[in-house]
Amino acid sequence: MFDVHEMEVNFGPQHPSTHGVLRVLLKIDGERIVEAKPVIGYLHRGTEKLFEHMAYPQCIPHTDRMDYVAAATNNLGFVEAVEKLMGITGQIPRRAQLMRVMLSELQRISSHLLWLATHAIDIGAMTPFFYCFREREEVLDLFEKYCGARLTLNCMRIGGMPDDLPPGWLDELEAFIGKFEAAVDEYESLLTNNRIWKRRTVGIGVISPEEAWDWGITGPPLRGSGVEWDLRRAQPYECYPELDFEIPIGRNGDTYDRYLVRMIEMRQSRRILEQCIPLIKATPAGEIKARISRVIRPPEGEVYHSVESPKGELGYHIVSDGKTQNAYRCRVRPPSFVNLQALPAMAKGHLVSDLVALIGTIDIVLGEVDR
Amino acid sequence: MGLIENRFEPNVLTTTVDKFFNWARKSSLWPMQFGLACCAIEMMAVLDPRHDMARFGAEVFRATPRQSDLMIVAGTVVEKMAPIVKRLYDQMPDPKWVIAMGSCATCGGPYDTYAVTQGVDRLVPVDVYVPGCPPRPEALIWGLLELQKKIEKMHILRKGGEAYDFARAAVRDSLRPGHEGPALRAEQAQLKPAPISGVKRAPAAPKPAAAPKPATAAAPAATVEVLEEVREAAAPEVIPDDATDGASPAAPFHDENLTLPERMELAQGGDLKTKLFAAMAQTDCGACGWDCEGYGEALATGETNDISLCVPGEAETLDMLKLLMTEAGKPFEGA
Amino acid sequence: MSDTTPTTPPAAPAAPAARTAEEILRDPLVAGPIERYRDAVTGARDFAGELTLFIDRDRIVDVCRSFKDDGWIYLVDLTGVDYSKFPGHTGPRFSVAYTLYSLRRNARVRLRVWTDDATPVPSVTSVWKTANWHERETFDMMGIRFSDHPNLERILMWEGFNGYPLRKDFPVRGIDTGARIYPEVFPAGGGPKAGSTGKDAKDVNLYKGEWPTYGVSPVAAIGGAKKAAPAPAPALTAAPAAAATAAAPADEDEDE
Repeated sequence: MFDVHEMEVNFGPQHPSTHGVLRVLLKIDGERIVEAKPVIGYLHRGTEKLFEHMAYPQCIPHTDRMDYVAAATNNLGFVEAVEKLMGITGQIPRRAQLMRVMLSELQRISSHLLWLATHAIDIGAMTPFFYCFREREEVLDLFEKYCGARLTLNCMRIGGMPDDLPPGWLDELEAFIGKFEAAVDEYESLLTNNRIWKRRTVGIGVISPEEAWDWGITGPPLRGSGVEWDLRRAQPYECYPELDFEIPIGRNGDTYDRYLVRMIEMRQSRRILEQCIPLIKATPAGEIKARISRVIRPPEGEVYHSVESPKGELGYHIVSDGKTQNAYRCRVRPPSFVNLQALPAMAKGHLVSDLVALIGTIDIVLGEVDR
Repeated sequence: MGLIENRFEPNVLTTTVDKFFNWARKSSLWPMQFGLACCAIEMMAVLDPRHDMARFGAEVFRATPRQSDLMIVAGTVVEKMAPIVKRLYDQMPDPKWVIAMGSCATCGGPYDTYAVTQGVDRLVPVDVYVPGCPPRPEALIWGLLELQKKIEKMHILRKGGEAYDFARAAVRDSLRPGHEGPALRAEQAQLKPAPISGVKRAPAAPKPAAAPKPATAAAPAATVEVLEEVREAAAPEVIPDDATDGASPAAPFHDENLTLPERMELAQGGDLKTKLFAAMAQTDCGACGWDCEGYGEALATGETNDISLCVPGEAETLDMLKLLMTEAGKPFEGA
Repeated sequence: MSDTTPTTPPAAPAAPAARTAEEILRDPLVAGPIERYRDAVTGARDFAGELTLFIDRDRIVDVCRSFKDDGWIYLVDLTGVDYSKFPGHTGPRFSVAYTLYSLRRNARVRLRVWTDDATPVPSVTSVWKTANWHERETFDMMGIRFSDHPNLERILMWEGFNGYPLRKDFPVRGIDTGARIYPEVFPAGGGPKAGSTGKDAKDVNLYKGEWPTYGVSPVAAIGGAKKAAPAPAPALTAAPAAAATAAAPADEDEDE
């Protein structure tokens, strides 16, 4: 008697979700999604092409702008990959390593705060946006005091760090860490046991561990599905082996578990920072760069190196021809690109409003997806 | 608003109403959520408790262009996204403004590549450019305040005001060939006397450097040259066409403030071309496709027969043109 | 598969010293999966602690499946490299690199395949689902085709774009591929004019419509104020402001 028609709706590149210019072609049957097809490329800026035309140190600011929410880990991945290519990974001074770890963990906190703010506001909870940005501004203050920039940091160099920590930076960091735990408790008090939050996130977008590996999903989505795999433990870099932190894993692989994983990750990052402060105070000031030539000309070869960015495994595959100061090919393996591929599988059968929650829980940054 | 727009000569009533409307408009700009890339994060940071855009009235970010009047293009405009930017701009109702936030929106930023539009001003007219990569939230607030200053200068009720512009813009875009940007015009100004392609201007009076100054001392001439250089350096794309503004001895009626009978009286004794010129609205708006003199000449030479093209002149110009063309025995249409 | 039980992976193995291809193929990391496909392996390299195996293009799917069965369940990355400008390179133009990771052994390995732009590479989407978008991107950027791919279409560039940007002969600023998105809306295209430096006045490609002018921005008045003063001087009677705005539509270039 009643015909069932599927409707094709464009979840267009401009939509009131702050994740950027993502377009999803939806086939929906009423409110249920039958098929969701992401269309990307609306922020493809040709970064990989530019890498081939710039010297290695010149590429570092461009890496900031890919995952623009977590610039320090982008920088870290790139400089570490080049260092691996040159074979100088063991020569990075300890103080520089600790600084890198501290900036990465601060960046993880900042990225997760932004994630929580936007994820919550997409689902409808507006208050965490203001609370999270309040803390995030303090993290950005710390970054600004160190390298002068809030968002696109350019805070690492091949072989070390550009500058030593300014005086008073560690005290400010300690003050921030002191009150951050209470801040995370505040966010959790708003959302974790909230009935509406649970109704919107429990059971949404379940991924099994096998599927997650097959789709290549890494980062909090993988850990939310119960796989205890974190690159900081599995393939450690910098001084992560000596730092003590836990890796949170979820049970059901749904949106709520991924939310809890990220909240705990923020707490663990705080813990890492707490451990780093006395360690860095014990290193001599000023030794922040390895003794390498200014001209970065790696030998011929290729290397793949990845770091654990807040979004997942961020990898750099650099092919060098040994003759020029440019990368011959610098491919970025973006975690958001790979995680986003699983969106159609996750969204099938859910409601349209769940799609918004899913895009938030995968935590994509379109600058990284499109490069 | 349509009843009272564009009707009044400037007086204290219109300026007060202008002030009121401008204050209302600038204090409640509704931006459209249009974050494209990294600058979007700083745009979000403007909303956070520290920077608080709400105190400037621009807190309400509407997701739909139909309800917003400010488009903050925050981030890189990629070629794939460019038609969408243009479409969203077209969907916004007037009056609308655009802030190009960040280097990428201003000029393509660090991305001079195959896929990036080098500046959103290739697609939409931009009111305020906010430089930075990304600009600090304070910089975006500065941009917003600059835009508010710009809005303060709008005129709504007066002839020649903002509403007037919109009416003409609709006609102009469909009739007049698009004009190239200011840089191109500056270049063409050096090549030939008519600076804007397709729009003829009244012939330039003799070069002002010689005319108003006494031709004796080298010092005043040098001063004039220095002034010219300074002006060039400060705003090199501004065409110094002082002599072609307003009335000139060749066309004493070419003044917007004169009424039609006054203009026709001043044009008495002229040939058909001059009389047709005097019948136009003297705004040089270009809605007809020429400037006023050009249109008169076009009608006189038979380049066009359409006498209804003068938009600001409205009925009185139409009637006068009809009269003149009938007297001259020329065919016309559009009456 | 036992690999997916949530166990903490062991510490990463120490980097082996540089070895010959034969030694590499005997390495326990890769010896198992390539046992049945020794003839498909055309070379091996060990650099910076990473193993790279060069695989025959037509057998890549079998080799990948063999690796996956051995526990290499995670395809980390799939990328293409254009070797046409590589100094001293004589072989086929393109190479597709597959980076694999094994959870059980906590190690990575790289497989490489040589091809040229005429010959498609068999797609490994049937082995790992994640290869779908990676292969699409490699096709989009390099023009390397993959056979048996479910939907090999462009992913980052717009439909109708007919160039391959990451090829070495494609300039950074782009070439005029003749592809325009929505030409009725966007006739001249917005991006850089093909081959332009962007610095020439005639390359400037500003918005071709009306630039609404509501007044002079205070910043623009720094340069233009001098010019505005002399112009309305003759008409400075009852309405100085009127003359200024009358001049404004005619002098839109002032209000950039």
